[in-house]
Amino acid sequence: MLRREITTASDRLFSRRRFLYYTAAAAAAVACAPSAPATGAPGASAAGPVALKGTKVHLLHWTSFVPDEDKWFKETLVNDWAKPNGVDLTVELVSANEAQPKIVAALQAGSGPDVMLLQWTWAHLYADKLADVGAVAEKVGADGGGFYDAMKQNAQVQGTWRAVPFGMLGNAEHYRDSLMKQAGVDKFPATWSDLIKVGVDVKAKSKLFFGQAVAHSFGDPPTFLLPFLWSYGGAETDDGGKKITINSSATKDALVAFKELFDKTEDPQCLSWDDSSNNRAYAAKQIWATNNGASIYLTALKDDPDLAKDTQLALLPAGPKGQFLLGVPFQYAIPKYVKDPAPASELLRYIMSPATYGGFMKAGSGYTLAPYKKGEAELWPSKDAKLDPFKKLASLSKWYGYPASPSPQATESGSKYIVVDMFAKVVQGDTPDSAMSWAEGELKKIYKL
Amino acid sequence: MRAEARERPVATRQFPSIGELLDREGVLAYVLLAPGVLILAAFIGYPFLSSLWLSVTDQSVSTSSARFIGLENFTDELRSQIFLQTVRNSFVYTTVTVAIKLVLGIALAVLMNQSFRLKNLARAALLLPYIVPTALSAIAWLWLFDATFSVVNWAIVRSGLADRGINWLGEAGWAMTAIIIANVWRGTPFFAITILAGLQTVERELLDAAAVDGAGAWQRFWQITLPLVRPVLLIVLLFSIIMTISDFQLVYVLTRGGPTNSTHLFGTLAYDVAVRAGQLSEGAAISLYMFPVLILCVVALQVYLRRSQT
Repeated sequence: MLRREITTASDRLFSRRRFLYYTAAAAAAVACAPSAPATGAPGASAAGPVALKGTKVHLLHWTSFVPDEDKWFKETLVNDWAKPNGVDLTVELVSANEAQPKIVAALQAGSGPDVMLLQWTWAHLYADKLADVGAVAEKVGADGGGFYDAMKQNAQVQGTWRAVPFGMLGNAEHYRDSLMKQAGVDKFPATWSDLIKVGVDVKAKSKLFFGQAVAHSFGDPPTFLLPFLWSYGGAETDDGGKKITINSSATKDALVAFKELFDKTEDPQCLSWDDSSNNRAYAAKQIWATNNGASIYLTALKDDPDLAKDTQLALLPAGPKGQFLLGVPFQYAIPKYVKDPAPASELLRYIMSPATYGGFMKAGSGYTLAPYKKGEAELWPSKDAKLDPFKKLASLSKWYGYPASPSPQATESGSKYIVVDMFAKVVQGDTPDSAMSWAEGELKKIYKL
Repeated sequence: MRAEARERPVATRQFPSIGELLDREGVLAYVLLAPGVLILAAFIGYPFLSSLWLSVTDQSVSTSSARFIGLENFTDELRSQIFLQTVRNSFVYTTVTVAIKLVLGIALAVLMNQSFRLKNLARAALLLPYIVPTALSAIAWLWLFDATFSVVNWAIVRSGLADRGINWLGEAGWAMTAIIIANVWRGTPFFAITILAGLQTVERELLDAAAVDGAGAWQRFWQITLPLVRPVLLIVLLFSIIMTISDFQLVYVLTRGGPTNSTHLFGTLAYDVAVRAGQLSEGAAISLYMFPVLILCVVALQVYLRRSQT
């Protein structure tokens, strides 16, 4: 073996053996260092009042399209609840698309936020890993005058509350009143066939199109296209979710009608839109109408009062089987990995009590709709009559998987945009039969039928 | 040394000290390798083995325990038109982008190998697309291809080339073209800089001698330069194929796999299925479908390299 002689002081200091000694010593020092103080909350008595002082709660929330709602969580909630109770509250705001990877990672790792805001039917997807929050949900529901059916469907899994309904983002048609009147129409069409006629006239006169996204995006495409399908009698499955029913004459009627609506009133660029594209297009006066949450109107009130003045709102038109709506529901869940759920439960009781929630609705000008009936009946914050259509939305809204109950399979179908793509395929030139057959094949695989 | 050894008790001689062990080359080599191996095992080996296990179970985010189901997830995917379309998309995307990046990379490398003013600045600027975080550059491309506010479309219409702009991300063919353009923009510098490094090892004398013998520029490039840099080219190709077929960020930001799944790649579909739909095992199976293809590429290139070296 060749050995290099160690002769100088620096050689002695930096020999490879010594280097390894130093490295090992440093690693050992790090490993043996006293661990950080425990952050777990002290156990709360199940029977007695919850001891909140000194506890920590990490709330994972979405970033609202209305900044005042975020401000309410970051400031009002902290000042009115966390500080007086001595709770170290962390409010983590993430965009709607970022939320799910964080939630999945936390649930799989068994560590993360104490309270997480779920969307759509996620409570059904993660049911086994979410705590039973029945005590909080029942109290909130009772105090709020009862939850709307859609909110209950999304939060309750086989009779157990896996989440506490938080609210709903409702979409309504925002339209330019002056342009519609220019085309000789006073009132937003009540049926899809009338919308096609009006859309053609407005497009001819104003050169602006009806802007509806038919693309891979979480909110706008499904909240328009699923109600469109239901309003013609089409559905992914039967009532029990045991049979795929997408390949039907009702679905075909819906596809034919939508193809006509798209070809005559829309623009092909809508096939690439995401949830913010229509907001930008409406603000830039590139479209005359679009289905969206109140954020378009609320933003216009601040940034472009003339546009806001010319904007009216209406719920989606009806099809042959009636009017159907789909809002984006949100629910609060407490993961099972949270060792002491008491402080988190207290936080939810506080936020969702009608007194507190009324303040939140006021801050957001009613952008997030309440999950319970008292929200629209007593807490409605706006005197602006233009926002009134939203009052009916939560009560009329259905859910992913309708007419069956929400399920993980319905969530997977939504995640793969099966219904959205079925409509998009027809718009792109596929025949309705071929598109339905494609959707049927994918749904059979998802539902394992 | 011998005198000291005689003074020590026999028992201590049977168990060499750490210092003595580290003085042995064989032991030291393993000790020095250990951190790298541990990092690879923790961040590549463990996730890979986990995904292998996941892919043969029925694990989802909604279930606490997993059941072994063999290759069911893999065979199930073959029933899905979305998956089959994803396979086609992945091959088209990888083949076209790698081919374009190779040609452009060689051209840029040859250009950068010449002497001209501000050569170093140009070489540094060449790396910019590769340095910028992909998520950021993808957002820039999103605006360039935006249906309503695309500056590219504005230029097309204003210059009179067409009455209306291109529906970049809303039409299947154009959407694939858009993600290919963005990927080529981002990936070409990697080819150019690596090939440039190879070009700089080509001895000038060889090229001068060929020139004296009457070989033209094209002949010198084709007969001398290219064979000499071939090993570098193959390594770059291998890396690029692996990185391109497993691309995610660029495509997800630009199209989220749309329109109608025409730009879904293995990575984006696996994300939708595993994270958004919560079907972890199915997502793992989709992403593992890439593996045999990549293994084939690696083996083929290794065989070729060994043959060309002998």
